[in-house]
Amino acid sequence: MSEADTALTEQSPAVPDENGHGVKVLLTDVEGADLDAAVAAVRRQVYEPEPELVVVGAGPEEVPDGVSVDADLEKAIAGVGSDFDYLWILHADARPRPDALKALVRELSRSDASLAGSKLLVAGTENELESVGSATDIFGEPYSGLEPGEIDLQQYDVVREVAFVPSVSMLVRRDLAQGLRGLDRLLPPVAAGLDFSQRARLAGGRVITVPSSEVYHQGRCVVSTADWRERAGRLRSMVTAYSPLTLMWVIPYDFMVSVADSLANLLLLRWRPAASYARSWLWNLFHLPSTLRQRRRFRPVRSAGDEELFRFQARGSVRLRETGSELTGRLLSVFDDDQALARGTRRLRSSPGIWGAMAAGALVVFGARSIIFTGMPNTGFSFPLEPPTIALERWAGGWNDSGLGSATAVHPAVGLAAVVSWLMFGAEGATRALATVGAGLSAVVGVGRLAGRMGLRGPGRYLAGLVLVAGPGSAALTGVGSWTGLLAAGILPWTVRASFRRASVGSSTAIGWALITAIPLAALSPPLLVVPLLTVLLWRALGGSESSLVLASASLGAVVVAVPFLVGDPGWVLYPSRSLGLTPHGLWFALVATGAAAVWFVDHRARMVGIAGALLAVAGMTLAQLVPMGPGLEEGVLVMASFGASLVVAGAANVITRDIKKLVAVVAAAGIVLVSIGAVGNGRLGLPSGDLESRLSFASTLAEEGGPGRILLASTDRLDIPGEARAGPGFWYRVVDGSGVTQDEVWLPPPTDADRSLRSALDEVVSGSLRPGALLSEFSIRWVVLLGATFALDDALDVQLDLIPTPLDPSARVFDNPLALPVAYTDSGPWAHVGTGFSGDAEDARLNIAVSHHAGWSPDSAADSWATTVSADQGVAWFRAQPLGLWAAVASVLVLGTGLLMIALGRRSP
Amino acid sequence: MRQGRLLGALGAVFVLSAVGAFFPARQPSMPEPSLAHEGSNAAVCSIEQGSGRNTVVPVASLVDGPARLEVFAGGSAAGSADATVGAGAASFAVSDVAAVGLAGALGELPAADAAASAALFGEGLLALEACVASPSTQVMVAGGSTTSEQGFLLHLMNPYAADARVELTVTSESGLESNDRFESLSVPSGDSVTLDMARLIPGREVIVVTVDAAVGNVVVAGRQQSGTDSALWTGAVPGQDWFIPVPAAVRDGRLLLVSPINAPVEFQLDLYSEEGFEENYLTGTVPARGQTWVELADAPGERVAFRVLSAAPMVATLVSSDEDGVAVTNGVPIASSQWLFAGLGSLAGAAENLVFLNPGLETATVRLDGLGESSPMAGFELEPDSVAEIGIEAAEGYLISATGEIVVVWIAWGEGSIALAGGTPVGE
Repeated sequence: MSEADTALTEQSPAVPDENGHGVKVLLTDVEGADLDAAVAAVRRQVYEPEPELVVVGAGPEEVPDGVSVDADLEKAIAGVGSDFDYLWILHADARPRPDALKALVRELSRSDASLAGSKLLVAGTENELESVGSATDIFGEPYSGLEPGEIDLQQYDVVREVAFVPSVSMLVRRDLAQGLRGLDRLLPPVAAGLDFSQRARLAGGRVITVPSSEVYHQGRCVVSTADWRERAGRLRSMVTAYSPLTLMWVIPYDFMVSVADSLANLLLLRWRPAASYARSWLWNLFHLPSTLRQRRRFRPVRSAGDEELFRFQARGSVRLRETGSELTGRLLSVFDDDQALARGTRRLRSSPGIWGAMAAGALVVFGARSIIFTGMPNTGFSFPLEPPTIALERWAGGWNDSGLGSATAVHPAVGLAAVVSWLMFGAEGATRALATVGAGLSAVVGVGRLAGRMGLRGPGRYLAGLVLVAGPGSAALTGVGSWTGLLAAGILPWTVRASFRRASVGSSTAIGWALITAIPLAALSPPLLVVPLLTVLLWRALGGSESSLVLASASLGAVVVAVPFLVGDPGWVLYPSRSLGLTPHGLWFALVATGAAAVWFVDHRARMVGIAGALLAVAGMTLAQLVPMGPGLEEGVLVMASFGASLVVAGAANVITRDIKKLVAVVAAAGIVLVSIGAVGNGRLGLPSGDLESRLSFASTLAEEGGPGRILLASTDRLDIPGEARAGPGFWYRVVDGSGVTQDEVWLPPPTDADRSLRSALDEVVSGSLRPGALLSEFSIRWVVLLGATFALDDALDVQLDLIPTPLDPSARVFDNPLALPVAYTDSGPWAHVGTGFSGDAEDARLNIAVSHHAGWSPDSAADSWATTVSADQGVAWFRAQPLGLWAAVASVLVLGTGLLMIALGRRSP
Repeated sequence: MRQGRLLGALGAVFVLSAVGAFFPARQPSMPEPSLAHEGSNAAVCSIEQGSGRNTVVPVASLVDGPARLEVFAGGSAAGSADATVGAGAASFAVSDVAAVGLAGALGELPAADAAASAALFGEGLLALEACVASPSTQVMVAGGSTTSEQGFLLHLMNPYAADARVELTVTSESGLESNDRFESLSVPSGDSVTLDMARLIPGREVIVVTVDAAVGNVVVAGRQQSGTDSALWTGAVPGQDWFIPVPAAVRDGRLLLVSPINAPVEFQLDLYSEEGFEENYLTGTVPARGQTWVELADAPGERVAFRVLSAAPMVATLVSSDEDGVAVTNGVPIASSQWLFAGLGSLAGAAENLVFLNPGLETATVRLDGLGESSPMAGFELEPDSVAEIGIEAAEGYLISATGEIVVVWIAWGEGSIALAGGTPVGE
């Protein structure tokens, strides 16, 4: 206590009268607060005897008359004489009502409590509540139960015990305050209040909140409770207050909660909480000696156990609960953009959007029942995923093992699937099933949210998502098993939506989302990247606003994911000979045109959406119908057709009324939806049934030392062949890995010398070669499987000498080729396939690898006709990543990182 | 303004819909055109080696190159030999390959335009037959007999990778024969099965066997034993048009017409002779799954040939069996402008003739090119509807070429033995 303060105390002893106790006000200085106003507010207190006022802090140079100054709170408390019963610790940015002190004293005295806090109201508002005392969790995280912006309607006006009261305005018994040595000066206000409250309770005092003592708080002292200093303070208060036994479990528990909360916030694209946690832990490590001193000082005063604190604590972690709640809210808000769920069931009942979403979601789940219960079909263009690390290696410029192998980049979907599979801990079956069902739901929700952003609010916008999954083009694609086409349909509306900017979202965040949503789309179906741009152009041409050409153009940047594939295999986009010749059913032209005509009768906004969608749909369908193109472009225009048709439905079914004109639109939309639903009725979202994996499992089962080798599949029906096929003399064919067809094999790289040699061999076989087995042996073709109706190859293989017909499949003709060479072998024996390379016994010999020759093979690659040989002296053979693929992988990660960074920078952490 | 744009867009929707709906859809991609089956370069032969019997497999080819003969038995190769076809001919002596008794042999020829024959020699024995290039699902072996002193073996050969299962329908003058050996007969891959008909159905005058392959493929040959001589002939695929040039040495033989179907089959027999072409020389009906004989001696003229036209597939077989020996060969189903006769002119101790028929309307200039080192050449004009028989100079085989389509049959005879064989049409 300063000399002046002592003098003042001596000169003006407070004498309690029958109405009051002696109170000394310790007005703690707050940076930026008007001290004179604060002093005036204290002096307005209707309390007798007039409280003595001390300003605590180094700030003020001049203080009003009758006010003493003390730089240190602890010293100020210690210097208070016994003629004062209570100390009112008050922040300088607090403006108590005139009766605030009187109420505090009255209730403290009446409740026989030791520490009382005022009700805090936010200054400058219509009585917005800031605090009425709080509970905490075990970690000291405050839990007030107040809604943000909640107005004081005296709803909490009950004097009650609480876990803590903020230090903004607290009345404390002098003796207790001196025993506790005041507030911890290292702590910010909330943590300081918590710390003081906890120590007061452990010292045997009661802590109460006094709502009748109202204090307006300017909040100049307030640091967000999520701020690292408050976090650090809470941790310090725990160490100070809890017994060693409690600390033994609560500290590790707190650490785990910190980690979990950090991760959950990262999912919400917020990195600051993790940094805040780290900083708070480091701060506590640094201040551990002072914390331990604080703990030692408190020990003599302590008279109660930790149970006294536990009585006022909430179970679990308040922070985790809040973050979890936010995550759940975000998840729900994906399709609950009306906030119907969040705002309660009454709103839910009246929200057409949510009903549409629930109905469409239920239909998708029903349409995927077979996938959910029995797993994904393995046929067409849908096959099991390779282990994520191998698939990622292939995508990042590694060896493409499809067919007879190639250095050409794999389809970017391989990389995306690898990442998703990795996130699912390599559970490839679950990954595929979840991705497929998720794509269906994503399409439903995505179209709903896109239409919402285009200004529609009706129930039809979610049902329209079904048309995207199973509309004119998607049905054709899923019908042949195009898994990536289905997934792309699930992503497309989100990418388009990212080009329709909300005013409340910053440009950085908007561009970030445009990039992030475009990356999976580019990976699944690169040509679809132009659809957001087309949609925006069309929307603007029709007079729509809200869309952004910049965002639509930004999404094109995601093409970097697919550049190596597109450069390496342009035929995938361009060569009509590789396409499946899929066209929408002719009925769809009539349905979409009818839908477009019908939306003319709905309101202007829905009409724009419907007509824009109809244009996209008929453009896609007409292109698919008339223009020769490669399979990639074919996939793109077909998905675009379905996307457009879904917008037609969204517009046409936006409002369901008895108005006959609008009813016509609804009927047209219903027709489109009903036709679409039929396509997903098979329980696999339209994907065909079949398990080629199981049918061809004999190759693995009967594999010998040299491995299962390869399988040559041939049929006159293009769709009998899994994935892409090569045109043979009168039939389609391809080779697949005998150990099981995987998703990366779906796309065949451009033909190499190896493929040309195989084709020559097949020509010889068809021409009547007596020994086809010998011809096919160098390609490691251990099995020949003829599918579908009998054809020229059947005739040729009927009269040959070295392929053994083996009745392994009742619906196919299977021939065993005992002469097949292993895929990789030296003179000493075969080598095993390991990852994307091979391994075996090191020896001074050449390793023959039955893959297309490429100089990227190591060590010491050389060509042997079309095949590859490498040195066997290291016991391993590997393929060096190709620079383009490697750089594209790095660039993809950079684009992803840029997108995430832009989103993160554009967000404010809570 | 906005309404105008929307109206324009709606119009575009209708136009595009009409274009898409009414213009023909792009065609789905198709595989490349199928390649023509070049014909098999295989030749499956019924061979016999040992017990005083030797088989030689001569090869003739339009293309020189390597050839291989593999004798198969018991599921694997009993022996094999390689040769190079030079100047169009080569020859394998089975004695140099394997002594396996009755077995199958697979010849791998330099090209599809090639032929191989099996020539069986022995004391008072000569049998000839062109080897079979590719199997058929149904063939008929007609003309066997199991009367006293005669033996008839049915030889089913499977050189292919798959095991085969066949159903045999055996008929004789007694009607449909019943024996469980005829049902679901398994012929393992790389092996052959021989049915001794004399043990299964003895005392039959004329036996006709229809072989239907249920699974896999087999090549079938008949072996008729009569005295010291044997006849060797392969199964014929039933057809509706057969040519049968008749060598003078078997002028007293018989023409056997057999039908595999379970209904009577009407047929018409046209006659070619020095007296000209006589259409409908004979007409008749082959009973359901039955047989009909035509005595060749009844036909007028010295050099004769027949053409059989039938309402349903059937097989015509020329059979000669007397004190001069036994010979059986199938009719020729097609006329061709090029024929290969492997080993023609190379049979030691035997006289050899070729019988020509020109069933066309134009005179054909026929050219005979001997294969092998000696390479004799000959030629003559063959009038329409005429038959000619000429002797052959020594060679290792012959390529017969004509300006028109002709039919040719090979006959060879020795001391107490006689043999008939067809040629192999090439260059079609």
